[in-house]
Amino acid sequence: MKIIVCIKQVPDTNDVRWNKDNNLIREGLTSIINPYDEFAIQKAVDIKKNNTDTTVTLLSMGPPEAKSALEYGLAMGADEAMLLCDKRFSGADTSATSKTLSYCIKNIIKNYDYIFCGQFAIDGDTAQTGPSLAQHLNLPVEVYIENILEINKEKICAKAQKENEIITEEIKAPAVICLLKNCTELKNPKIDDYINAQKKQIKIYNLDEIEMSPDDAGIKGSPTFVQKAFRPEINRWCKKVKYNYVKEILSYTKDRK
Amino acid sequence: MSKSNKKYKNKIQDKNFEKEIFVYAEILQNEPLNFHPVTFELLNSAQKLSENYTEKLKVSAIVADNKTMEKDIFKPLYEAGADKIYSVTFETIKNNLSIANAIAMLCEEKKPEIFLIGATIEGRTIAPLISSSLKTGLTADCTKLDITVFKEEKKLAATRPTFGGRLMATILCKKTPQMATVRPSVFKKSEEKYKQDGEFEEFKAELNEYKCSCIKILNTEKKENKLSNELENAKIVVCGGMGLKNEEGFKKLQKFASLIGATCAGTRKAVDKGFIKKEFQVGQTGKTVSPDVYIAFGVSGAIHHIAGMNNSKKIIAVNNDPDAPIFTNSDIAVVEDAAKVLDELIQEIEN
Repeated sequence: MKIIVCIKQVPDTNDVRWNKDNNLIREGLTSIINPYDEFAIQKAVDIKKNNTDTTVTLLSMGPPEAKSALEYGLAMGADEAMLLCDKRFSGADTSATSKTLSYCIKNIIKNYDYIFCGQFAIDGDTAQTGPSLAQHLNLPVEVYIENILEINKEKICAKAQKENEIITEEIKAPAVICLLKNCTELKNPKIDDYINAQKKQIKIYNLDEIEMSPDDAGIKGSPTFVQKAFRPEINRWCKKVKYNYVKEILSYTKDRK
Repeated sequence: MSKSNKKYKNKIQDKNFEKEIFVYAEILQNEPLNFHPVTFELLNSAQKLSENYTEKLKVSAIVADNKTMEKDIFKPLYEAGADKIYSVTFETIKNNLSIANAIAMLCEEKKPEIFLIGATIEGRTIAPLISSSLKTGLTADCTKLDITVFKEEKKLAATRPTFGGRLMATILCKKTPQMATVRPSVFKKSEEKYKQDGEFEEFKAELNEYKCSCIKILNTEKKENKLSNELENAKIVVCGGMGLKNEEGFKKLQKFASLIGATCAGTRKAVDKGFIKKEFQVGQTGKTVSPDVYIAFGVSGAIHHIAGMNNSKKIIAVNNDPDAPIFTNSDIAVVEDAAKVLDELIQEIEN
């Protein structure tokens, strides 16, 4: 089996700082591998352990710095890694991003059985790239997967969360599978794993190499754009109540049952 | 079996093309027919958006299923704000793929201006499938929708939190339909009924049988905690954080809640500690609430928590740490020990 895992390098959202004009300070932001993607990689590596003929390919789009996320994934046990890196890719929304990934999968990778994605990315939190990718590749997709029960070249059997229920289902390969955190247990790579990972090369591709039109990529290929970005407004009274707070609180809770 | 000409059977003959706002009506349960509450909230919001156009846009609810349904069972949708209902049907099995592909076909024919979908598990899956097949844009998890003028054209301005709630972004879409998903409880359902009846159109979608049958459901188990809208619908929410310290603190919170008719909620840490069930967690990874009054006891006010309750009308915060970030985000700030204040409140009511 060949499993592709799509990953994203994201800024650590716990580490966001502002300048005095209320603009986000991007310099010096710590970058991490999206936590959901880490679980997706681990799950693919787990599957590889039980199926010796399985290979795991990591795929990411981003600046050259995103190589560090791929290096980490290789240390976790993936076999190869690809980075789609080109200035013309920048500013992509989820639609252009998924399209770019789909070109690489169609034109470079070609043969595969499954594509794993993390359910969300913690920076944008849109959960859109996985399903969009499936649509571009004309593949079935299932989301909110909390566990994989069985997997082979023909089909995958998995448990997925729905609004009111948890369903067990069978999905025919090839398919896109979006995984939740805790779908497996993370095993932190050891020093030896990092050393072994350095022997594996990260292949870098640009727009021309994946045979994509510049009109479909980056800002140009994105149907959505950010009109403005701002810090959440706080419009509250902030009235400090020192005495009589019991009466004050209860005056708001009366007759609202 | 020739199906190819059925597809356009329902095409409107009318040449006066009317612009529409589509709202996806998510079916939670077929018998009795039950829609996800976010459907009604979005219909109301769509009505308000449509008023920004000189010629009011038609608000159309989209119902998709693999069996035909009679018009009369859709009355709640008209009441909530639908001018028109499209009953989209298909003959393959029902799953996210068949729903999304059938609705995409409807959009290709009707060319709606805007398309709103609830940010539920189902909505978050079908929305990107639809937007990708229509080659349009989609903005996820919006907390505010407006109509703005951009390059002399009226556009949907969809605002959403990003970077874990630390940054707000207003996003526009160059193509149509301009699609957005909205979390449940961000908007309010209309208190008054819009109408009793309206237009109705059936749309039969011819789907690729093979593709839709790629996903086969083997088994379904009900989640232990069935969808509870209690928290989202509550007029008063009292929320406990780690400042309540222990189970005893949360018992006081429960008691106070029952005395004033409020619903209890908790922060992520309180849920992790087992003080309150996960379905009552408020915040980015929990639920979004917008009650009339939100009272936070011993909640520090991490940005992830604020993201889930910031739409509350009045926020009252009780915390013994005067520097707790929750205070900058509250209307009434009480710097006291949360458990002690709960004792005093309970005593006052009981007397």
